[in-house]
Amino acid sequence: MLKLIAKRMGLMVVMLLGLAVITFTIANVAPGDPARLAAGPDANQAMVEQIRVERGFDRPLPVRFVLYVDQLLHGDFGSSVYTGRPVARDIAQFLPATVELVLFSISIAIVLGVPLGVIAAVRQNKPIDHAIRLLSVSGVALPMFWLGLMLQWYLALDLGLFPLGGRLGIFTDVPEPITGMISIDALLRGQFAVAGEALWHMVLPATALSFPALAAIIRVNRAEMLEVLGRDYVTNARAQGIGPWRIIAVYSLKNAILPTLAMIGLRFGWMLGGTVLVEGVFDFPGLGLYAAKAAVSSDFEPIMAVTLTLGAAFMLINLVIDLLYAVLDPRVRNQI
Amino acid sequence: MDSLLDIRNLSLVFDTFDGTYHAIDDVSLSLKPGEALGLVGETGCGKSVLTRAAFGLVPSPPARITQGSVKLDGMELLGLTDRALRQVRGRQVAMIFQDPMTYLNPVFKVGTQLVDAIRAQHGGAIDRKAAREIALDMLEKVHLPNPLRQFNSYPHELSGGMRQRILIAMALAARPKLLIADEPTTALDVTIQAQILDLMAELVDDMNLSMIMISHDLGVVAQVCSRVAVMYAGKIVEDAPIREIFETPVHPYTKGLLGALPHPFRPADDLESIPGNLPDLLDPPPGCRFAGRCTFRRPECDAPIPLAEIAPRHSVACVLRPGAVTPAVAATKDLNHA
Amino acid sequence: MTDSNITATDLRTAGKPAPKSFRETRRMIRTYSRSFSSMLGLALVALFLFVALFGPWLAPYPEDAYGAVNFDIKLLPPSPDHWFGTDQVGSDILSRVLIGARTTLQIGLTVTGIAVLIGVPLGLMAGMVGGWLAETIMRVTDIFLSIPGLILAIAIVGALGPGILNAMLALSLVWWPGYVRLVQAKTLSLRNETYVDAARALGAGPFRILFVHVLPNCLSPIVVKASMDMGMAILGAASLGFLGLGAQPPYPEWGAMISTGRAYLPDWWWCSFFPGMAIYLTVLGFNLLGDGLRDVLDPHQR
Repeated sequence: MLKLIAKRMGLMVVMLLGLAVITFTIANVAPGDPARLAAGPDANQAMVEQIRVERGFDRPLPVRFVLYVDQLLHGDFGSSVYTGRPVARDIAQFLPATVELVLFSISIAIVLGVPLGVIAAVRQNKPIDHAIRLLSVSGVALPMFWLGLMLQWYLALDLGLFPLGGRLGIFTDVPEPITGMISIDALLRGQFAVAGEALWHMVLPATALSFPALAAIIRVNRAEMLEVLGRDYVTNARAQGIGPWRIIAVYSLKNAILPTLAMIGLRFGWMLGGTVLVEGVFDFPGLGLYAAKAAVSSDFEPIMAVTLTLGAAFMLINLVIDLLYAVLDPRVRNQI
Repeated sequence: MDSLLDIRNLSLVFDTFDGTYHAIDDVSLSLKPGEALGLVGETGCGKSVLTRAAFGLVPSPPARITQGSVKLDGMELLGLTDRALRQVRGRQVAMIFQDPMTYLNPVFKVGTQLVDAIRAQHGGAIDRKAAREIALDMLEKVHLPNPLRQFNSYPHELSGGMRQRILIAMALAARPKLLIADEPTTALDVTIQAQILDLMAELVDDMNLSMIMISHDLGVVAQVCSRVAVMYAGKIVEDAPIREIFETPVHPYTKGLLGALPHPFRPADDLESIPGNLPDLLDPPPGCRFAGRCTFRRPECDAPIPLAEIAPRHSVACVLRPGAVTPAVAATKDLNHA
Repeated sequence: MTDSNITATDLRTAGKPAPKSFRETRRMIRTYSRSFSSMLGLALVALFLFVALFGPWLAPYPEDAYGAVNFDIKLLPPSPDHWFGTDQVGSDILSRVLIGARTTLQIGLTVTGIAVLIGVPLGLMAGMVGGWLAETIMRVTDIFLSIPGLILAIAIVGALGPGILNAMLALSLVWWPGYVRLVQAKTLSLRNETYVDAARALGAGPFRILFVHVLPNCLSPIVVKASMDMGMAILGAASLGFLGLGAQPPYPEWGAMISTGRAYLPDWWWCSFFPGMAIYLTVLGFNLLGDGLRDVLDPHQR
């Protein structure tokens, strides 16, 4: 097990280096002047020249790549024209909110998606299956930013059921940070009302964000359950007289959940990307909103840093998923 | 003596996109307590479907039982609720299947699956510890070396022969009256095959079991069973004691199966195969279903031919049987039909 | 002797690669048309293609799609004159949605097309050739797949500057790795099939194996994925448009229209509602079409 983790961590370092090559290439091969990109659109010629020398843009490409990686290793992601601060500090500030939102969203998607997939499979071609199918085909096709807008328009503006946006009401004090995730910090400090309020603020953005993932999880889990329910070992379990509930919820689900896990990992990553769309709608101050603002104002270094950060996060998630695979499937475990 | 299992006029169809597939057509079969019956036929003839359908293991839809009855110890099984059928399956009837590789759940330990099955067989009336005792006891009974270690293994860590022994242990833990063995040795090596067949013969004797062994191989069946029923395209064509099947087979299909059997005194290239394929069961012929491949085909084969007794315990569905209708009678029958 | 006119129904032969007989084709069409959702998908895609082709003639006020301004009829609710209402400069939203379909189709075709053109050859190469070349291709693919595609596309647009062409280019550049994975996996599994081995043993060259045995068998999954990806690419382009990185207003692009209309919620909801519905129905159509095609073309699902 430890060997697997070490091996995967090693692979992750290589992948991150590859990712750095991609961001470096985007920054340097794209038409235009990298120094000007780094300086931002409003900089004058002198500032551009200063940045060119400061950041080594006048050196040959391979040297610049080494410099770039060296900077990254020292936690130097450049600085943001828009916020006027080092990008690393911005990311440290905005990342926890995004992680909190994405964790909440993926939890919704899993908690609803897995049982709905099971129900749809068990009641194949019955009305409930069709209803669930309608939900799942819609989920993949709905633009999540538009779904967010519509939810905001109807549930928040029209009915006033939910806050319009933000992480907390303006009169609520943010709890002293521990993790930076407000709901968890509030729980840790025993401020349950604040935790509830933070979760309440996340309901609409998380719904919009989780909808495509929910749909995908339902689809995969339904298909896998159907497949597993037709397998010989399920026939055998039935032939032994084991009850249907146990066959479905234990014997079949543990097999079906393995491919579903892969989908959960994939969708987790897509959700990270989706925050760029949804956080803006709900004015949720996370990394996605930061990236969106940076992208619109051609604030280059923050975008590259966010790309690297989210890429690393995605890789980390996949590592966790692979480990879960090993925990759940003895065949994988033995290969390690 | 009364029969343990009595299947009467059972018919089953599958509803498919291309039409109604007549998988089992008007099949009757009975089994006495302590009897070991071989159910023989080629792939797709309906032998597995027949036994599974009798105990409610064929998913419906697409399957649909159109007529017949299945009685176990006098109790009608068709129409029983799922819960009641589960009781029957766990306690009175046990099943083992063809491919031991796929009939154990890959993500649970063997022990967990045994304990679950045994508890289900007892209707949940015993605790895990008692079930574990029974499981270890059964593992010993099927001659598995080091039962405790197998108990804590995952299926993929065991060989095919070991898995089949585990499946047999699981099936017999409830001390059922009837064992259905669906091609239990087909997927195994020949040497392992012999061991498993020996084990089954031993257990049938020891536990006073009745058994239906499904196989496409008359040779395998001959090692364990005292009686054979030959199935072709959803119908039983011949049913007789094993000696008579080998010595005086009547139905051309049975003869064909015997011709396809390897024999120590015959070179392998002398094996006969039966030309042709199964008839289209979406639109089965009204008469003998083997007629299309039969060397002895004659006009009366196109009328329905029932299974009839030609000797004590020996029945055949063929116009060639001794004392069957003469061509002239068949011709008048044809006229009556028209 | 054996009666030759007995049709054999051996269900086991269904999975083998065989020339698609008339019966097979008929069965495919029947399977497809029996599914309500597949037919709905086909209908939605057909409607979309129709609108994309004839949008300018269908639109009641075609000039509104290209920035016509008419302030005295701005922000009118849906009415018989303007079925979808009018926007903040008095343009007819129905006209803009209808004419925007063509842009959407262009985006979908371009992005999917480029992704297929890059991804399929690379996947075939990785699957057929092996060695360091395959290793390199797959590693690069893995790295691309390890970043959420939308983020990478945003990064690329960030470097190139906003605009619809750059958005299409960015989406194409992040879309191809999926095809490499798909085709490489399929090629590898086909390479080990008995009938391909047999062909090789009979002296078939690599190109013959590629074009006769491998490529035709890869086509079904590629077609299915491409159909799904049309929808996903449209969604991606709309997302970039919404962020202000794709098509720029007043260009009639659905994502950009939602973005503009957002400022007029909640009172003038129709500005963003109808373009969103257009995206939803189009993407839904392509997804259902892909689903239906998979059920028909992929033997595992049968």
